[in-house]
Amino acid sequence: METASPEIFSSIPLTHYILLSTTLFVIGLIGVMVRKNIIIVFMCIEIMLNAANLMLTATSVYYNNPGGQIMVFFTMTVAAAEVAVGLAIIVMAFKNLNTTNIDLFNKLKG
Amino acid sequence: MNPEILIHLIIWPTFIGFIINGLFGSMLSKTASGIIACAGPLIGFLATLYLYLTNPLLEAINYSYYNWFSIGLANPVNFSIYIDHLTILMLFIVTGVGTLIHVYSIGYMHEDKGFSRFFAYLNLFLFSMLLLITGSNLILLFAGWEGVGLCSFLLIGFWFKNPEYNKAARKAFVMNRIGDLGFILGIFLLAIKFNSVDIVKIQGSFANLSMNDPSIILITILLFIGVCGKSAQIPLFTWLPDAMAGPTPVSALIHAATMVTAGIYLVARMNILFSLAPFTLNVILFVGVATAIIAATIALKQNDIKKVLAYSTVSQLGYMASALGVAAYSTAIFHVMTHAFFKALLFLSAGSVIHGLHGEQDIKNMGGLKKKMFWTHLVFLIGTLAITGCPPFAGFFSKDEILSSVYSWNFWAFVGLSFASICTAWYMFRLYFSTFHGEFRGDKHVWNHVHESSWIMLFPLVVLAILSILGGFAGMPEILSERHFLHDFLKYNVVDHTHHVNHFFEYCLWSVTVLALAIIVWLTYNRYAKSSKEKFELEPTGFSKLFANKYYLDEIFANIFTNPLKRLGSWFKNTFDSKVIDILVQLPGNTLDKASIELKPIQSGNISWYIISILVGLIFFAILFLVKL
Amino acid sequence: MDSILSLILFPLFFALLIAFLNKKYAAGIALTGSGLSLFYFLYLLSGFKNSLKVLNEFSIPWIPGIEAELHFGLDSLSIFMLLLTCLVFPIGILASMKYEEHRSKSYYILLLIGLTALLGFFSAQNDITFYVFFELALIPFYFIILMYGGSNRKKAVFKFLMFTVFGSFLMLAAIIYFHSLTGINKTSDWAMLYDMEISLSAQTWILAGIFIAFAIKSPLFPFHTWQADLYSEGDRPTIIIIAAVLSKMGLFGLLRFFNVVDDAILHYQMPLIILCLIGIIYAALVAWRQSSMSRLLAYSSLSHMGMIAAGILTASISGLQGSIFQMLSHGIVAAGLFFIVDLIMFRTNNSSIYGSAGIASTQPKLATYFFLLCLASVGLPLTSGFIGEFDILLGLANTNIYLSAIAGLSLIFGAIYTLRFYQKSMFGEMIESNNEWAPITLNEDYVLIILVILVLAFGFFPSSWLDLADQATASFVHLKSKI
Repeated sequence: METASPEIFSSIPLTHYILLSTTLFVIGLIGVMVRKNIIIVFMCIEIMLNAANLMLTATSVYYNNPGGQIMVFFTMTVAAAEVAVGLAIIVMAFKNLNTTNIDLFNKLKG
Repeated sequence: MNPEILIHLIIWPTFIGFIINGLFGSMLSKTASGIIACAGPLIGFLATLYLYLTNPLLEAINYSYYNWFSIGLANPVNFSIYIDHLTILMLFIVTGVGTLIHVYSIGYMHEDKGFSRFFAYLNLFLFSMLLLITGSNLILLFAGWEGVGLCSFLLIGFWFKNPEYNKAARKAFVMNRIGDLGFILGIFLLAIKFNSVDIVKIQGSFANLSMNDPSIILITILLFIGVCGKSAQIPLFTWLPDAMAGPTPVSALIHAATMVTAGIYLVARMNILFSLAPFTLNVILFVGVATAIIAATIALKQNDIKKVLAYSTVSQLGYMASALGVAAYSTAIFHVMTHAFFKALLFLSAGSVIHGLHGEQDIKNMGGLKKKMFWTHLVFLIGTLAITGCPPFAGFFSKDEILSSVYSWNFWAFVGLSFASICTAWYMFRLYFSTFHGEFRGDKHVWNHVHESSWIMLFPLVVLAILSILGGFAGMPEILSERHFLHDFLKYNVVDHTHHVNHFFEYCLWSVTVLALAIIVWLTYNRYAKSSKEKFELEPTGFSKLFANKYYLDEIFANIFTNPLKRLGSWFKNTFDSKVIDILVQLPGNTLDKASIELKPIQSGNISWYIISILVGLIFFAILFLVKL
Repeated sequence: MDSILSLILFPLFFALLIAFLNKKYAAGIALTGSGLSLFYFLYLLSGFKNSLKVLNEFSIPWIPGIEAELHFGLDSLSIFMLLLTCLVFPIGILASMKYEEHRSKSYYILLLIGLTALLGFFSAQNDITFYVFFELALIPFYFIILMYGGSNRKKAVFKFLMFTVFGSFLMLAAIIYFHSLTGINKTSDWAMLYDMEISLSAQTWILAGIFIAFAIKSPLFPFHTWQADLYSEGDRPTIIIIAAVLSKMGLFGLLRFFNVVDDAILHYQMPLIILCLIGIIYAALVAWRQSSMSRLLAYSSLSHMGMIAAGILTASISGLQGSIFQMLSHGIVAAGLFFIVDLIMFRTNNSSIYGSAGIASTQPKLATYFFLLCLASVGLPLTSGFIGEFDILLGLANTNIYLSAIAGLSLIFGAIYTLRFYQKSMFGEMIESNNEWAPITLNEDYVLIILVILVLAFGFFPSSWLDLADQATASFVHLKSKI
């Protein structure tokens, strides 16, 4: 694959994008692992998703391949749907269990 | 009449009798079912007689009913009847003695509830026996062979409410089956080797076989195992004494006169084959002599009148086997014939005694019966004289022939048989004197009711007694007569090894026999004729104890075979099947089951834990991927 | 329409009738349906020419993608088992009629579906049809036993299901492997499958798969542990059918696949036969010590199945011929014996062999039928049991006389346990509670008379059936020997 680097990468190198998105992803990951509040966990998941989106966009430009950016549109659409469904589940769970503590959401274990 | 009709008349009347008595017995009166039952063997006997008188039988008759089944591709086994001189002789014995015993049974079983059932079984027995004798191939012979075993089972356990009798019946059937296994394996080898099971065809293909061919030895030994089972030779004889549980006519017909001699008949029928295997003949001789001695010594110490006669039968069968062992086949058949007469006579008169005493079988409760049962006493005496070989009764001639044939083959076997002969005389006269002479030792009450049997029981006894007196003249030794009628009769079918008998030896043997008999009679008379009840109840010691306990053979067999197998079976059933096999077979399923229980806690429901697992897995695979690159 | 299809669909039609009619007619319709199937089969049989050809064929494309088709037909091998199936079902239904108030319509519907499945299975003319109906036959019987029977039936039938499904999976794997090897998709008939040449190592794998499958189904030692539980806990009228017919499915399968794996069978003949022999002796010893009637018969059946399997594995004409005949004979005898066990247990409510002691004196008829069936079971000459066993043992003797001697021990042990069973359950002193035994009913009498007559008829006049069996073996081309 050709690696023609566009103008923009001479001022801000690709490494910076990778570092930023990795940092965002790790923040999201740690948030999912550590936080107990389900809404925070949900937001962390969104952060991870956006980190991935950022990465996709950056590399797409870098490699001069529009596929990555197209993918991002898809991801955003799906993420919107996911938020709707996810929030609905959270609301229902809160109604039933009266809590947002994720450790208490373990009723399905075998 | 053409021979085919005669063959139908020989074979089928007994079968028809069985069907009628078996299916409709409950609707018939006792007289009717008795007559129907007796008609079967009587018609058979008359037909045989007619066949014999009108047909010189220079060529054997072979009549095929239908194709029974086929082995492999092109070997039809026919349901076919084969009649030659040997068969005719056996037919005479079986139908003749059979008729007499049927007549006797009418009297003996008259009080019994299962009257028609009894006659149905007896007729079925005769039918099987006729199949055995006349079957033209080994498989039909085997069918008769198993059939008589079956009827023996049914008749031993005739009074089926008694568990002991049932056990005896089962024992007889199973021990016979052990022999049958040997027999059928022998048939297989013959069928594979000669590609046929037809007796005549097989015997015809022997010409090109060498002596002591290993396969022939194996075949003959296997056949002889069958003979051991049916004709009660060591080690398979222990069922016969137990078989006395059946009604006495059964003991007379099946366990003395006919069925147990089937083995002897088989060897005589296959005589050409056996003559090719001198090794097997020696085995037969050894087994025969050993059986004769062991059974005779056991008989010395038995107190049950039927048990004595049973061991005596085993011992006499040993004699016949010894004759076979020296390749004197027609001599063995001669003894089969005379033995059928006098042993049937002895059993039936013993039955008459038991009937007269209302079921008492123990000789310690008998004695002095001569006074009340004159005719029974007389015929029993004739039977005793015949079996002990007193000249000129039937047993004398056949036994003498066996002894002299054995003498010219093997001296020690002769000594053994002579010893058994002395034992025979001893236990028979012991039995005779303690039953019929002296004072009655049982209850006074029983004594008052002792009665002579009815004419219907006595008539067969008298006929058998006459046969026991005259039967021996069918085979006069060469000193007395130019012509041995029986040997001449059988010579077309049975090829004997010729024994040269020293005339001087013969005379010596006779004089010694008579002298020994006289001494034994005198000794036993003194000892047993006035014996008291206490003497019979004495605890036996030493050898007597060994004899009285039948050499502990039953116990030995039980401990070597039956009990270990039973224990093994129980262990298989209770432990091995459920604890080993089932567990092994279910191992894959159970392992998965266990594993799933063990792995269940992993799904804890803790999301952080899941995510860490995912991360760890991701890193693991990433490393794996990178390392591989 | 003289097609086999009508025979197969016949019971289904009656099952539909039962579904739409009142419950009180259910048993009668089921009996009529199975009885008419029997007569229809006899009609087909009368037109059967003794030939190598498959007759009354019917085939229909089924899955076009793999060119699979459903294909049924009569041939000389299937005739034996079809006869047995058609014969045993009316008996099973008759036996169940005395429990009528406890039986729902679904019981009879399921039975008739089972009949259809079995008829399809035995007349299947290619491996896909064979496999489908092999599985199909399991389902109705699973549900019947689940609904009726002893208290531990659920565990027993689950074990049965798991064992069989595991075996079926292996068989399916073997069939797929076979097709992937030969590269043929089209599965038209057996003859085509038999013609395929495959290497010994491939045959070994296929044999391993199908042998375990069939050993479980029959069952053969050591895959038998489901059997005794099922036979003693299951619904007894259904067990009559299972013991008589379903137990033959495995052996029938082994015969069907014989030509596919004949090299492997010849190669592994010894160890496999020895396994069968161990099973024969083992089962006989266990049967000897059993005190429960159903369990005793289960192990007796196991012993006989081992004998039949050994006969097939000898790959000799008489061994195969005897096995085919013995499958029919054992089916008849097993049906009779289980029928008697059912009628005894219906009256005494006691599964022990001692439960009906002394009955012979008040029920002489029953005792006689029972005795004749026992005789056939121990293989007495002039009963049907003898011919098969004789041929099998002869085949074994031709392979190796010692094998025959060991297998022949079953003659002795068979006599021991069968006669023990008979004497303990019929003879001896009468148990008091049995004085008021209901005499055997007319239905029972007829069933037993027919079975006994069949046993004797096959014993006296087996030759035309043996010729049929001979025809069946003639298609087995690579036989070692002529005897």
